[in-house]
Amino acid sequence: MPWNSPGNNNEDPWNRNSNNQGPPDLDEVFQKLSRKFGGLFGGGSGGGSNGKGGATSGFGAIIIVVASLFWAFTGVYTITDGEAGVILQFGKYKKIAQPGLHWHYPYPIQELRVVDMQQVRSSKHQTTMLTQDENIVEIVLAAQFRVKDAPNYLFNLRGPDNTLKQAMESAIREVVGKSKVDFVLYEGLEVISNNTKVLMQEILDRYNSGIEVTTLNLEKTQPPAPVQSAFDDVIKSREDLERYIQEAQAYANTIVPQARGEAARITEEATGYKEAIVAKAEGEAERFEALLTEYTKAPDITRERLYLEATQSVFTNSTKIMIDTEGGNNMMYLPIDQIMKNSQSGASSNSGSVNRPSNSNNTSSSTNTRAPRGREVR
Amino acid sequence: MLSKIIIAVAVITGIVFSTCTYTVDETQRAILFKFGEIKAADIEPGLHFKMPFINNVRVFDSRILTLDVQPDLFPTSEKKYVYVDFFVKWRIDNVRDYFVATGGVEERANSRLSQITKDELRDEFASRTIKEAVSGERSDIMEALVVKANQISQELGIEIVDLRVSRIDYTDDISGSVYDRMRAERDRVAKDFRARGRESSERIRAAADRERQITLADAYKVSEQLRGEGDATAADIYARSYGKDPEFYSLTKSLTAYKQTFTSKNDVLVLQPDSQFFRYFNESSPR
Repeated sequence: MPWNSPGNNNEDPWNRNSNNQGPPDLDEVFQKLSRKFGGLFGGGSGGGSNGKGGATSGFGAIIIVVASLFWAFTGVYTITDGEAGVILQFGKYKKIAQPGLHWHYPYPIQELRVVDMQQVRSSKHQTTMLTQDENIVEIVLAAQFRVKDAPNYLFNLRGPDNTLKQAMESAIREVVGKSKVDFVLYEGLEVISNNTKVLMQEILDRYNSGIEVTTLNLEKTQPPAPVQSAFDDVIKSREDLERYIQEAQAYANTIVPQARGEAARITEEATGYKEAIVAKAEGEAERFEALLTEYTKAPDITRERLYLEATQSVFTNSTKIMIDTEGGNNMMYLPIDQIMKNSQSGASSNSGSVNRPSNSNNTSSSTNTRAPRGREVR
Repeated sequence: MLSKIIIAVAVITGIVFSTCTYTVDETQRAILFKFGEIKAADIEPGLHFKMPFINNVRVFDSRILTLDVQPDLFPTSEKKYVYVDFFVKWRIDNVRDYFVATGGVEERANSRLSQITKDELRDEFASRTIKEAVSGERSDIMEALVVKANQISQELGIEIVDLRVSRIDYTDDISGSVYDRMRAERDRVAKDFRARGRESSERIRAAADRERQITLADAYKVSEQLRGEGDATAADIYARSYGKDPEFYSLTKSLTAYKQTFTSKNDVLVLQPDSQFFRYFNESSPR
């Protein structure tokens, strides 16, 4: 039993007998009062004995008086706050004494039993039990009790401690037996401890035990050790579920903006192409028209010049073989592969002349750059 | 002299009081015997009188007493054995019957009670599955048992206040398979969670992929439109410009094309000097 019962093993923890211990200041009170009463009562009987002249009988009378006073004063008792004194008269319940200094008829007539009403007793209980879905769970339960009705507590139940334990175990098992394992382990701790408390109080009230359950806590509910890892895995799997979703969200958050960026690039490039090709067309058109203007002023010479310049450029940059045998039917051997080899080895030295046509292209590129400006004006 | 009288009176009173009266405590009931024959039963707490040497008195505990039975194996309707621990709260209801039936020995009452309740409980469990016994019908079992046991216990002069099954546990060999089943159940739940997680994950990823694809396709559409507009505008510009003199356009375009085509020494031209370019190649006067 986890009852923290200090010292007195045979007594109930809340019950102490007034015969065993009195208030600390009783002696003092007793002496003071005995002196007063002794003077009064002893004086009267002393007078009588003096009349008879027997000193021994006077002494005996004093002893009787003192003895009966002592007897009377065994009935003095104090009840402190938080205690209840139950008075029995010839064994029968008489009344409850409130806190303060009181007197009851001494021993054979009346008897006092003191119950501590304030002291809270706690009990802890650890056990395994079955749930409704036939799972086994381990539960640590702690409850606190106090006496709410002293006569009931004293007179109705033998062995209240043991009864508490039984009521607690029976109640928690019944409540857990009506609940599913997930409810017991995770969701329903509050509900289960409340229901257990209510049921336990019902049981204790059915016995008129006079005991009140003040608090009841489920300190721990856990699956038994052999299946602990499986239950932990379920908790982990919940986390995994969340993690998978978060990871997917992260993926979505990565690729969707990236796609938007890419899309922007595609449209920007297209816009660029559009503007560029229009600009190029405008430029080339302006170049053509400018040249055309000059061409119409002197068509023949311009045509001739253009032709010759172009042909010169072509001939300058290419390998040429001139065959000036008009109408000749002779077979002629042209070692073209040899010519190609020579031209390739000489290509580096001829690079300057290769570049020349690109130099002449500069004029066209300058007209190209001029073109957008012309459009801006438009 | 007076004091001696007082002492004598006190002593005699004491003797008479102690032999001719008895007290019954609040927690007790008493039987008054006259030469062993019951004269009065169920005597209430308080001060009572008796004849010395003729009457004698026995007191019995009238509080609620506990019968805590050792856990025992009971078969259920599925022929599984479960450990059942229960306790009975009882009190002496009829002191006379109680005394006659048990001789006032509490152990005897307990063992009779234990026998009765165990038999009843065995019947109740045999007609139920474990699940029924553990969960819903626990209190039904208790109520039924209290009623039945009370019928029988009446002859014992006792009243059953409460009967509670505190513990129903599997035997160790069943516990092993219960653990296996619990593991399997947990495994199912865990797999379910993970699978649902993967499902949501796939959904989210697929939606993201779809959005990406649509975004890119839309962008492609817009870009092609833009390029087309650009091409159209350019074609229009070329047509209007070159249409002013198509022949001259042919010339300039051809010449530009020649220049751009033959740019390398690898381009080999085999020529006869009869083109316009070679007009003055063989003779300096115009032909």
